[in-house]
Amino acid sequence: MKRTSTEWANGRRFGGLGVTLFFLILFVAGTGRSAPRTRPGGDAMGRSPTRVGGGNAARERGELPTTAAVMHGPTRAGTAVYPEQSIPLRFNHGEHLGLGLRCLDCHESVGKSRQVADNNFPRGETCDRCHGDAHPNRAAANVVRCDLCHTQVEGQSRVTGSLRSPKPLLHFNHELHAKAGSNCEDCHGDMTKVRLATTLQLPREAQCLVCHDGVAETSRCGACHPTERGGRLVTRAIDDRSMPTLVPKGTSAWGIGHDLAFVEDHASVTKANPALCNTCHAEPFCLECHEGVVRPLRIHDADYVTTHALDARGRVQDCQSCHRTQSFCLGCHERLGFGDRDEGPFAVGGGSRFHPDDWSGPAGSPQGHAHAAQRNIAACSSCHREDSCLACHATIEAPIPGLGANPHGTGFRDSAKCLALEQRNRRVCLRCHAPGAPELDCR
Amino acid sequence: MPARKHTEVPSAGQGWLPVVCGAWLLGLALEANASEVRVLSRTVGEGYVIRAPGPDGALLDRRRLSQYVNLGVYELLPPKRPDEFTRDPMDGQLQVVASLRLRHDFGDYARTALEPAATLVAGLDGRQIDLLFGYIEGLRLGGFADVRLGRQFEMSGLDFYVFDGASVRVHMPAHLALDAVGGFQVDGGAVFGYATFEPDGTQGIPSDRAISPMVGAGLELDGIPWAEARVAYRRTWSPADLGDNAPGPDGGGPIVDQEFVSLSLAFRFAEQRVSPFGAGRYNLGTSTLDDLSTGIVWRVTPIHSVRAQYLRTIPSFDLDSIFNVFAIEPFEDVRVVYEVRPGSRWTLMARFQGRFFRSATTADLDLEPSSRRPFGGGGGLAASVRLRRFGARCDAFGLGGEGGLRVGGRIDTRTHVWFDRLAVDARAVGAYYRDEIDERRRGYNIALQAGLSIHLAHGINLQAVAEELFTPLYRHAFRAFGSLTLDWAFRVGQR
Repeated sequence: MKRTSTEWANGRRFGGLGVTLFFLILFVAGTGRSAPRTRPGGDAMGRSPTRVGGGNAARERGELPTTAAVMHGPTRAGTAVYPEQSIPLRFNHGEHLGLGLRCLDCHESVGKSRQVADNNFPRGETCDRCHGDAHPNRAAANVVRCDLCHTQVEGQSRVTGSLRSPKPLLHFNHELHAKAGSNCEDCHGDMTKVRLATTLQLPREAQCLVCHDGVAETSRCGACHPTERGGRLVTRAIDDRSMPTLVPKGTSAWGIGHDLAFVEDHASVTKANPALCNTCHAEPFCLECHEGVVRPLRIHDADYVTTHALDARGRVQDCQSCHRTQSFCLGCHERLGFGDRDEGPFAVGGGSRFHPDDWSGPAGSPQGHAHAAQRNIAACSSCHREDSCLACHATIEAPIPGLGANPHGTGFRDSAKCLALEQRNRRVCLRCHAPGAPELDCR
Repeated sequence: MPARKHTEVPSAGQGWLPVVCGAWLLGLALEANASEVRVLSRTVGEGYVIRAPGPDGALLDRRRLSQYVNLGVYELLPPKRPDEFTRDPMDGQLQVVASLRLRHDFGDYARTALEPAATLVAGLDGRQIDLLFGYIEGLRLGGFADVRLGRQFEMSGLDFYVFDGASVRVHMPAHLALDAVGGFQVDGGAVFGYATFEPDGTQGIPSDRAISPMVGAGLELDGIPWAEARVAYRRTWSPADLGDNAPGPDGGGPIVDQEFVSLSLAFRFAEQRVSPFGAGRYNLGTSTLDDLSTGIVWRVTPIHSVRAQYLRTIPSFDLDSIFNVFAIEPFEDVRVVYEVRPGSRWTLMARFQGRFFRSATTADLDLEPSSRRPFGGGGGLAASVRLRRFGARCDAFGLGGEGGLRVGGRIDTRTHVWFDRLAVDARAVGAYYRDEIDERRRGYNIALQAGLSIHLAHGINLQAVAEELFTPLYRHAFRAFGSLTLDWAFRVGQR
């Protein structure tokens, strides 16, 4: 920001070149070793191989924060944790349980299951134990009515639909939970009243948190939710831009439900609980808007260059959260002719003067600027430097003399503000007051 | 004493530091034998026109080219146990992340900036290399400490703040964590620095361009699912010992640039149905509560939710700045949002925003405000639908009060075609505005946008947006930008 061409000539450029070269070398160094697409199994906790960096894992979408459509675009059904299933079957859990069957009689493999990727649905052969020999190929003499169980059937015996159940975006180890004493109904609820089980019978977060309360069991997000390499949560299962994204809402909002106005209002939530934001968002996400090179159109839409003054004066958004007024704003305004120039249409005597006539003037004249400065001097500082204020408010004896217009009001020398400033930074006092001046000391 | 030249402040040799650190980290990665490296490259180009205000009304043509390179090297430490593919997070881990940006602005400007702002805007307009962040991070080292070393952010109840230095967070018994930070504030004068998060206020004087040391500490609740609480403190020194602009003997003593203490709280009660939160920052330098925000989220049912917020802020500047003297009245803002999701595909939202602008009597100037507490109100309505291949959002908004009035609406749509690889965006925005100070400054603007987002291959995306603008100032004004993103991961070594 404040570099000069001399700096570059003096060798700073070489340092920058070195860093750039380093990145390039690193980039090239890995060309022969792509990340493996899969890796065998999961670990003891049942953490599946789904992690960013794995071959098919979610990657940066390349979207800039330009339009709301990015956040409200098309999406598949289901949730990020439990993607949409297709189970073309007729089944009644209640009936089967009523006959005295136990869960493990059909879901035989679940007791040994360590990953969510495991297929724990009953196989056809399991059904055949009671329903006759129909899987995988029916016996020649056996007349089978496939449509008794399958919903997508041609005629009576040709099944055309198959079960599709994408794996949840979770770490889960059935074996570990069973050994810890959990019963099926602890997580899946009372199945005696359920016909075909869907994702509705999969456990909700609130159920998990009954045990994972941070005391009895860990409450670390990454214990259940897959994480990126850097430790943040994976918010999409695979590199498919229509997949639902893991977003706090509804029953899993964690107090930071991302409603439709969350972009405009997120600042206070972030200040109150930044650790929760960091669970999913890394620095680049924040910087895309707060230190971005393309304006986020949801905040700065249409001809915002013309209308931004309204927002700045009203502090509709906190401009200073992205723009330093004394460099970004002031620099641009000066180049357009605003500010403390002596010449041009926006100067004090110019025909297009920004402020109304009663804004400021010699002592005794209207001083409309005072109240605007009291409540939002950040807007003033986007066009004016401190010198603008000093011209009138500095004392006559100051190093750069002013007109001695006292801006402090009555009682300032008795105030806590005076004392705080005096104790921490007297230099600011000396901008207006002469060294050794009697009014420099707070009472 | 003559002012220091800016070029003297960070030594030129410091430019080598990132290179040396980078080479060391690369060596560490190779040593670890199975680290994962993720590289993201993003190229952004933008072109637009603006109308210079004033009777001349010249049309200025501007362009910007930016190149990001983000780097992450993860899993520098191998697993502890032989049956693990990756190290258990609780066993500790080391990683390195960095983001570098090269930026260049081209185009026309009405005139040059005045000194000293000219020095500052030269950096904005010309070629600029920014190290946005870059640090080595140790997580759960020794089972209890998180450490960061390098350029990093603090985003908390204290501030949005970037510094070069170290931060340590120690997990202690009884669900407590203690953290401490120390280093140097990053500003436009730092090596590959940028001014965005530099404390606002003074500019152009030598002390503003010198490095500022800072320290901070915090104590927080750790690992309690239903509660977060943190009390934190930070002090940044102004480099007064340089003596650059201390105008006399009274300028002696501790020279503090910023000194804050903050308290932030967030709770989740009744199975997350009721979630109050709040953050307050007390500026010890001005003895004011200069930033307070509090609110509550009430999830009435799984599909109905209400969020209410209260914000109270006073503009804050570095303590070298006289602007702090003038900023005395808080600005208050009340916001209420009601959202309902009548179906899995639909979301509806209503929002109210009320703003209060206080004005005190300026006794010495014999000034009475026209109203002691002017009110400005407004709000918005929004609806969003998300189908398998089509998503849309409509908004209507209006807000008045200090500054002026803005009323308008917008519609955003996105349609997926070609196996979801191509997203087609269409967007329209229209708004009417009226400036409260000058009745002549009123008008409308309408923007029509079209965009494409193409998923070319795994990790490779291309995005382009074009905008046509219609306002009383512009018969038409075209704006376009495009970006190409490459996101690539590979493993260094085998495991």
